Amino acid sequence: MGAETLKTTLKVHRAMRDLTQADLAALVGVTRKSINAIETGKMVPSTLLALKLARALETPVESLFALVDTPA
Amino acid sequence: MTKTATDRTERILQHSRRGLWVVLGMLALLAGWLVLLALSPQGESARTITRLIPTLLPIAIVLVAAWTRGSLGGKPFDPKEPEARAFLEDELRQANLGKSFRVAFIAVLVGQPLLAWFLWQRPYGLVLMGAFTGVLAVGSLVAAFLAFDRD
Repeated sequence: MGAETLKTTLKVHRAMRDLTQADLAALVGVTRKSINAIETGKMVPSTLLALKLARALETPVESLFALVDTPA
Repeated sequence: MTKTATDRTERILQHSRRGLWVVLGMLALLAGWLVLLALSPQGESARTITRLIPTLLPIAIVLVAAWTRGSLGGKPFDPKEPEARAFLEDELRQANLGKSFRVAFIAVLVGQPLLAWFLWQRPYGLVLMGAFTGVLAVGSLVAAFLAFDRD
């Protein structure tokens, strides 16, 4: 059985709204580095941050983040 | 937040990193002084530095404070402002800080037998052991955080 990992479409949704990482960071109250880390998969956001991101991008949180099975 | 606010958050971040580098530098100097004291407590170098520290330390602190404050663009750090809160409550930063504390804890644990072996027969061994442990703890914390939190 493989491991479950987090897949994110944050970058896509951010680009659709023509926002820079800094813009999105300012909207949710974090630093640009955090947004970059989430987009590159280096960081898993907390539930609170994930909901804030979804609200800022006006999209359901399930559209931004999903669990995927990676093969063993 | 506007672009100005975003820039302000980035500025606070860079200011924080600069401050931490300064702290690391000062800890390195302190460690050097402690090594001198351990190896040659009655030596001329150790005695000279010990005599100069009460004079040089306040001057160094004032100079560093003035320099790092300038990097905030003249506006002092206010933890209540939204840009400062974004910096302080940043999840990535807090996660990196947590990792850094764990690294510092392990460094102190590993450092104890090494320090004991280095200092056990030296004059003022116990005092130096305490001082070295403190420097090791804070130094490894700051160094680890600078490494984890880099761009």
